[in-house]
Amino acid sequence: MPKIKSSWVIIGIIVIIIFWLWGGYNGLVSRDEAVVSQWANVETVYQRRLDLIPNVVNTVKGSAAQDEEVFGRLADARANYSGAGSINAQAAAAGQIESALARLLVVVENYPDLKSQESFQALIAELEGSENRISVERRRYNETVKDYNTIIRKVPRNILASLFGFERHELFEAAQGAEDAPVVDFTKE
Amino acid sequence: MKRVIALLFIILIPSVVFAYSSPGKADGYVTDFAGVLSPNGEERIELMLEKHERDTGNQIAVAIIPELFDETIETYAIELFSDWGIGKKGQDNGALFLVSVNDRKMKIEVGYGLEGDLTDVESKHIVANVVPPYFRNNDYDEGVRSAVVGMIAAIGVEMIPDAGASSSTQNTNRGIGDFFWIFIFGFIWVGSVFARSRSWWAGGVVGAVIGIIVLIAGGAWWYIPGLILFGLAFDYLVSTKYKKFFMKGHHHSMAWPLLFLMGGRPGRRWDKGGGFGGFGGGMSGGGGAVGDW
Repeated sequence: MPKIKSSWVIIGIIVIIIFWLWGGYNGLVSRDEAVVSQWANVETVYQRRLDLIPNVVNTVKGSAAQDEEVFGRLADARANYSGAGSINAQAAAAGQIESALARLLVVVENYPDLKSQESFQALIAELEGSENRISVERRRYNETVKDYNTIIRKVPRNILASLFGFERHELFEAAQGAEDAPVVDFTKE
Repeated sequence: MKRVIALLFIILIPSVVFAYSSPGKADGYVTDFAGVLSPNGEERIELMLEKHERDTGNQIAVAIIPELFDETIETYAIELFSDWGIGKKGQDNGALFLVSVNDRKMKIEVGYGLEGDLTDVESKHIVANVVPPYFRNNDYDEGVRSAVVGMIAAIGVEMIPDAGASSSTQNTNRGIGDFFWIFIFGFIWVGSVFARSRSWWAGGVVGAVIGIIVLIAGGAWWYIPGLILFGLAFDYLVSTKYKKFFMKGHHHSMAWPLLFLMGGRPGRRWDKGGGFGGFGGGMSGGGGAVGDW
């Protein structure tokens, strides 16, 4: 009799382990999906900013047509973003857009008439809103990635993760262009 | 003793570095932590916002804090918004007007669902042109009122159809849904095994094993004794009343206690009291505008 009992217990334990594998695997899949969908949110707010840029350029060009270099950089960065395939490439191109936009705003400082225009101020409000949205969604992206990366490294899910090939996602680092963002220096002008 | 205190500081410091800490619960649509509003003024704004929710379903919150400390107002607004959960879950039809008195800064934070109605440009107009003159005269009643009037005007009386019920059930089911059928199925199967084994202690052993697994997976320690007791009782029941349970088709009623044990935690955002209905778990994504005075 005792032998029969213990074999039932073993079968029960095996069943529980199978259920745990099932639930654990599905948990990893949904966390992985969360990372992907959060990156889609980042892309949405990037796109929002991208759509604003032509309006900004048109408004600024009216007053500052001679500062061609700035518009060229912005156009290049925009084209780079559209052509970017991977998340890393997108992030790098977005960094380029940021530094080009920052340079444009420095140029705008030289045109007080432009700054006081109502249409320009509305654009700046939109641009600020876009930048803030981007930083929010990026931070949430990093939080989602951290959550996922932690789970796949922790016992016991690390076994599952390596078994089914769940790999680390990269955190969003500050873009390469960020450190050479222009410094506003009025003494030079 | 000194070393213990030093160690304690080292442990505590990382949590202090995160600059946002909740100012407390909302005690209405308008929550004045800085104490700059007059009771009458606050009541007037409160009534306006109550009516706005009744008419449109949108939740607009006002929070006045004395100071931001090391946090930026943008981040503070985002954190407070999700902390309180302004707007309804799934619809995200909330908005927050945050004022930090000592920093002389304010932010309108717009929930995802209202971004199309209360645009950045409209928000900017309110925080840059409408409110500052009042705040400069220390007329906080009128400043906040004008902001709220502006926000309500921008949002308009557009009604968002109430999808609250369906979206919230969908959300709670997502976590449990996968496990539901597994449990029903596994429970009956394990139950029949226990019943046929005629012992009453195997359930306790299996309960302990599940308890340990739950603990490893991030559960609390009391799952172990709880599940042992539950397993014992369950095994005892099915061993003695095997026929009653499995011949008369009562299986489903037996799955509920375990389901309750595994996932039956009430949602945090729904148990908010207060005179107003409480906020509903809405989210925002950084829309709106910042202003100062």
